Amino acid sequence: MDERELEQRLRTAVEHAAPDPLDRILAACGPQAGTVLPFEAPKKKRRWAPLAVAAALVVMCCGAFGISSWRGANAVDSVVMLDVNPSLSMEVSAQERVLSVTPFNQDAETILGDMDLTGTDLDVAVNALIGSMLQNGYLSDIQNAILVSVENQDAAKSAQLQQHLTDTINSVFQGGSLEGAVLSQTVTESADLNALAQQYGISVGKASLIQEVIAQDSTLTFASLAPLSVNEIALIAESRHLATQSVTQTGTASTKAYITAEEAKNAALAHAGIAESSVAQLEIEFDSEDGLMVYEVEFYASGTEYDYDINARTGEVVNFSREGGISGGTTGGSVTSGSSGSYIGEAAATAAALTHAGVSEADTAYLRCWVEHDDGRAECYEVEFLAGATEYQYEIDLYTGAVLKSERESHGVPASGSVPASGSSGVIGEAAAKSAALSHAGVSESDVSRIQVEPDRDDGRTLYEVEFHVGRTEYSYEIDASSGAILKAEQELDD
Amino acid sequence: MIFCMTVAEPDPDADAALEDCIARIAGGDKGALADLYSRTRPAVYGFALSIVKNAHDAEDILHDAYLQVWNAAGGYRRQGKPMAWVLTITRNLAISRLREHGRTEPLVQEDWQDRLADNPAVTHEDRMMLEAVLSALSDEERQIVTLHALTGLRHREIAALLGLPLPTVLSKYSRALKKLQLAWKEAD
Repeated sequence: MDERELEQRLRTAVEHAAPDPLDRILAACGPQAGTVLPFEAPKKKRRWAPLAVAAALVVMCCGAFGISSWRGANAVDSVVMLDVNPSLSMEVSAQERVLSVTPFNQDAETILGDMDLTGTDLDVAVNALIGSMLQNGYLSDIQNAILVSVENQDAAKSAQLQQHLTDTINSVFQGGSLEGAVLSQTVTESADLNALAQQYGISVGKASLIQEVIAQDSTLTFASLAPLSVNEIALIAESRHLATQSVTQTGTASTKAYITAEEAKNAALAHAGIAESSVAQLEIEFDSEDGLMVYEVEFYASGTEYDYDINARTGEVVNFSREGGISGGTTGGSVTSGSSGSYIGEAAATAAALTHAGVSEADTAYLRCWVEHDDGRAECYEVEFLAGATEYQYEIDLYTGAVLKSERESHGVPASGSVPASGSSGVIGEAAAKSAALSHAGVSESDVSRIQVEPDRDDGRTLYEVEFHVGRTEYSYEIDASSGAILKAEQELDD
Repeated sequence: MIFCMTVAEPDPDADAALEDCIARIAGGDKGALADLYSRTRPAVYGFALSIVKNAHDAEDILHDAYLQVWNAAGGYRRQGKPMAWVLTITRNLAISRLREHGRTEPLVQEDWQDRLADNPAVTHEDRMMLEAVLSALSDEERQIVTLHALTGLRHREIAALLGLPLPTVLSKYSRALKKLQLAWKEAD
């Protein structure tokens, strides 16, 4: 059966299985939320439908102007976006009722929980959302900044709403005894902002804030700020004295999660082995390294320029470089490979991979280890090496050294030169392929689920693809159909 | 705003018809809701089922989704993505249903078979197909295949709806179909 047939069959099956609750749905349809009810007494409901049809026809004839004036209470007047780390947007009617809520990230889904804010007053919704953020720990004295973005075609209305929401949020903060910082702005949607917001999974409001910040400091990038919380972005902007013209701020973003600039400076000086009295042009700013908040400490001493990134939470040296001075050269390094942060380091990651593979470093022809990034965030150590004719690829957890994924692939070297005859005579069979894979994984068939064995051809070679699960780990193998040799072994934690 | 990066729809006429339905629903027209329902019911049910993996919950979501469409139609902005809008509502309901139950594990298969066996419209082949989709595929694979088969959304739109990168959707889709083919062969 080909793909089209398969999809057709699935379509038919779902069509047959889908229940038909239309009558129940129609019976449950009450007056629409936010709709201005007609003036008739409720009993005369029968007149409502034809009236609505007539009205709808009028709307369709009148075009856009007609729609906006007729829909009134039900039409989107403003869009209000809230960003802390939870990021969400609300469509709001002219009467300040919430028409819809869209979460942009998992954190926003968490704070929304089962709340259905559709049809509620905007003030009530904002109170509920801030309350939930406080309760869930997204707003606290160490992360106290929230960004409110308002979009409305009427600039005066935007400004008024912006002010009103700032006041509302500040009063919720006071109620929760939190000294919060409220950043507010009016945004105008554009294709550019939309594209950035979509790409990074953030609100248009946060995208606009980031654009404004990076426009004033070319050393900052969109990708480096996008994963940060509003608190962190506010701190970076503040420490660099970036005046964001269109953003109004009340309160101060919290630095309680971090060491002080003074402590960061001392950490850098201690690492460089230089006394503060002998340095000049010392600059300390907040920055982000792969989503990690750091202090960037720069200074000159004896004609040498020093540049440090100090983990803003722990005070450890993340990166450093030295330029100029007696040797005139540049030295430095990424300390992620030694002692920094809580990463285990490249040496430990490499050792974890080699141990797992049962290969000693001396037997490798090629060995590389680096920190793999995804969306600007450090994700894992990637370790690659070649031993004999087998290529190994590992993903190692940054903090624990656990093997997240392993892959191995053999290149060439058919077993003892025996080329299988055409047909099935030289083929080991599915059962043998399966047991080769199971024994490599060190599991018995009773331990595994969803086992699948499939003959396949790759580069003219006949092989078996074997896949199975043990708990949450998925194993996939390619087994040479003539020799039973393992050509490829992969193991991955199911997400 | 959310689906602005998606490409042209495969069937713009169908989308225009759906948008007209939504505009009429916003005006309180229940006939338009019935029309929208008849055009989208399998997609909404199938997608809900692919997330909650439970026929009973999927039926509730089917019911609630159209009620929400009824209530929220006034807030819909014409963007040529009516199907994605309806499916976003469906997805949100399904996810909050999962959260409510605090369960992400599929029900035992007997529950499935009982429910399907009770439904005279469901043939033996239908049952085999649904069981294959439920047992052989991962959650994301199941959602991707269901959306592709039932909604007419393109992979790019599916990626936007599920919040996944496009290459992930493409590779999971092709892998899922392979698995499904195999599961079908085994069951046959």
